[in-house]
Amino acid sequence: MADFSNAIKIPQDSKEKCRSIFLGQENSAEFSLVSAPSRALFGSGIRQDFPILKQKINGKRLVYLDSAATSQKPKVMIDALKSYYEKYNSNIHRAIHTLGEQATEEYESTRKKVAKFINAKSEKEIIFVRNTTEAINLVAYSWARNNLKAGDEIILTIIEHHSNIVPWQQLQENGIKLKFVDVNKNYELDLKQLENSVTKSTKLVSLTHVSNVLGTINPISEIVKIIKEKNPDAKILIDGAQAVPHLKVNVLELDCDFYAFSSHKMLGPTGVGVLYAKEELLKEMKPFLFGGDMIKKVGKFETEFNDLPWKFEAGTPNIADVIAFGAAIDYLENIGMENVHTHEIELTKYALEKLSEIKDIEIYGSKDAKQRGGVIAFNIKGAHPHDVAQILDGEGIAIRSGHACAMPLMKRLGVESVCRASFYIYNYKKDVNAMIKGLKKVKKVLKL
Amino acid sequence: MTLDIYAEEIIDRFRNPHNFGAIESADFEAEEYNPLCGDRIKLQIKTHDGRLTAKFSGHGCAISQASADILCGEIKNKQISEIENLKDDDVTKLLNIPITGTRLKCALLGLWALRSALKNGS
Ligand SMILES: Cc1ncc(COP(=O)(O)O)c(C=O)c1O
Repeated sequence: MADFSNAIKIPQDSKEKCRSIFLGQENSAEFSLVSAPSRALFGSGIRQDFPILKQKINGKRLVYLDSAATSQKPKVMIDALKSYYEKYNSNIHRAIHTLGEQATEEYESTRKKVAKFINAKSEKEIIFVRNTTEAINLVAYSWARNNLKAGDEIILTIIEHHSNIVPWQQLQENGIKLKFVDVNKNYELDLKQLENSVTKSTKLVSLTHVSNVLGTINPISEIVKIIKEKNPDAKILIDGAQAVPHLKVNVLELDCDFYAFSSHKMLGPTGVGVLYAKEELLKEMKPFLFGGDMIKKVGKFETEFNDLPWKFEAGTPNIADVIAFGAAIDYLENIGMENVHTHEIELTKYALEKLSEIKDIEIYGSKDAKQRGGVIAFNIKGAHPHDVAQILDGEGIAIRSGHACAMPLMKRLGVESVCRASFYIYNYKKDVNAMIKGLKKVKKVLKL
Repeated sequence: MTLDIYAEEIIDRFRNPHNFGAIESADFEAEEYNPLCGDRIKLQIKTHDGRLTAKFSGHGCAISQASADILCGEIKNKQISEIENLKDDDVTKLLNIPITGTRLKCALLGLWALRSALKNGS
């Protein structure tokens, strides 16, 4: 069996070669909706790189449609993790020995890769944290708590994940006001309302790039312009947890002040998140956590803090996972984020078509696949999402069911919970077909 | 075999519960809510000459609804002393389907409502 983990080392211009390896591995009718270049790369070819997908669940082929929760992992990433522990495990930044130097170099090289991946000006603007949630908390603690006062406003949207709501709610005890921007009937953010919400008191607008429920891709550049035009001093934080894994993100072009995302949703390990922030902001901000590593000089009663970005990384960081995250980024770079996005649009379009054929289904979000990421939330009348997910699990199909960590949005949609299918590079038409077949079984079992 | 959880009896109870509805001036009642899935069950009990009748209302998955329905059936014509110590196991045995970790909450929502109801009174 061809191992795609080797194939990804082939430079971009040799993709022709990859194609010949992968075509014909499965019935090519399965790929009929995938265009020629991506045909070579996506679906069955790429699946070979993900050891977990070879597994059977309840005796059936694993159909993993829950990548929005966390993605599966390619062997190259798992190997990088193993290689660190087996070959150069050691603490970083302080060691004057071979292992320590190699570990430091690899750790810092991931930082450079991240900076390049999202087009930050400098790697000083890349802070490693545990996940998106911690990145947002860092901004709430280090920036907001020190810069906002009673009467100041933070603008959020109704489609936010809990991790971009709860940290801000905590600031209300200091008299800081929260405002929420609604969606229109096409489930897009109401930009007029957003514009009207921004006032002189607006200190921060914090919103998601891609919705983890509706799949909507928010027009961030346009939104940033709208906000800065009304209040040039307002800062903008983008929750990129569902964007960076799926689209080419360019923070410089977006011109946001903060940008947060998680490694585990983009083929990397758990336990690593990234906060990007403009250097001038980071320079002024107080550290988040205090202790070792984030210092330059410590006296009995006073400390001189370290330079950026280390000022924000107290204690021994998650060395192994950061290094392995670098391997995940390499893997995505080799495929090309434009290709990832195109593949997902095609798959989402196909899935939306197929799902709409099911009677009594309600699909939340835009019907236009180009406006959305590879996330589809839906409900089948009379079927509780937990029952749907459980019956699908019996068929080896993993989807999410529940409030998807967006309870205010559930309330807005007038539902308690939803079923959510989400796609990534290793999914293909065959997975959508399996889900559709599974949903027919759901109706049969529940006698709908 | 995960699918056994959707046994005929469970689906029938879910689709056509025997004890769904409200009791006017109930002697005991309580509502329980599972925020994870939004399931909600209100259980009401009335005593006639020391014998009980029970009804439930609310919404949720097949397991929580069928379980509440079966529980109401179990309560019927019993005395309080016979049901006040019902254990989790007693309910899962009544259901007679394999219940795994994450679904246990669904299966026991009705029982939680029963316990709260007896504690609350009316
Ligand atoms: C839009 C969005 N924001 C934030 C998060 C939180 O990510 P993490 O749990 O990695 O902190 C998620 C993850 O589900 C998400 O989808």
